[in-house]
Amino acid sequence: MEREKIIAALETAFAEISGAKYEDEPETFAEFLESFKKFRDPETPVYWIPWTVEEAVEELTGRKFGWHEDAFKDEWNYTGEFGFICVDPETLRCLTAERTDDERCAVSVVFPILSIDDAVQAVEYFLRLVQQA
Amino acid sequence: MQLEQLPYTEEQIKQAIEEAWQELLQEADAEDYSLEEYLEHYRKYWNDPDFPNDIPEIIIRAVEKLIGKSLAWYCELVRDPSGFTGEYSFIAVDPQTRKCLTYRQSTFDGVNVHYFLSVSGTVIYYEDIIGLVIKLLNKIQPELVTE
Repeated sequence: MEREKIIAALETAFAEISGAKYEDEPETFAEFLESFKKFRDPETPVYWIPWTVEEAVEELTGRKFGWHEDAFKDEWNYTGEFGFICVDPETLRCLTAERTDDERCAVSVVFPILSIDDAVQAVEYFLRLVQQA
Repeated sequence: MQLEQLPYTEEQIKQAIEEAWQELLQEADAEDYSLEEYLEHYRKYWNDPDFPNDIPEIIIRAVEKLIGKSLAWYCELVRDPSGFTGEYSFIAVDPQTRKCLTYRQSTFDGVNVHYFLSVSGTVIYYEDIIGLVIKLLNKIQPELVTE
């Protein structure tokens, strides 16, 4: 899928989630991520980031999924890494489940999302998962 | 608690919990003491922040022993600004079929992949552990059967 289309879906999703669509000079998702990367303000509503990615995936696929998301923290602050679990409600298959090297099974995938490029990559990954499923 | 809907007796569940507890003690190379003693210690000094982490581990191991199968898990201790709320959130996936066993369909928020278990506050008794294992089995067992 074209990058521009993914960015547009991310921006639309972010405007919805953050309430930016009601503001006169709304902050874009790209700006929000830049600011998060620069300041790592612990007061940042950091879950807007994975929610925006999820919403964009649903918008682009025209489908709803069951999600779990985690924002990882170190001792001091959010690291910018996010864990995702995605379940297809039709098959109940956990799309993010993967065999690990030690023959076990991991249920989540982790992405660093500190820029719009990172967010696009995360969306592309989920679109591939949905397509493969 | 609906034990009668499960193919296990309370004795078998207690046995599985005991085995899970013994495994954890061995892995931690800890001295031998009972789960009841451990819980009692916690109730007395309940500000130990590491304690609640052991509870889901015991529950998960006991459930796997009873169903005879290893599952892939995600577990989270639900916290609010004042700390652990007494609620655990579980996600279980069958590694063979990759089916999410803890999903629930809700008219309010669509598909939810978590299954929440809670104890009354942060005070945990042995009977609570049994109750949590039974509740989780009640959720997972029918999904395994219909796979």
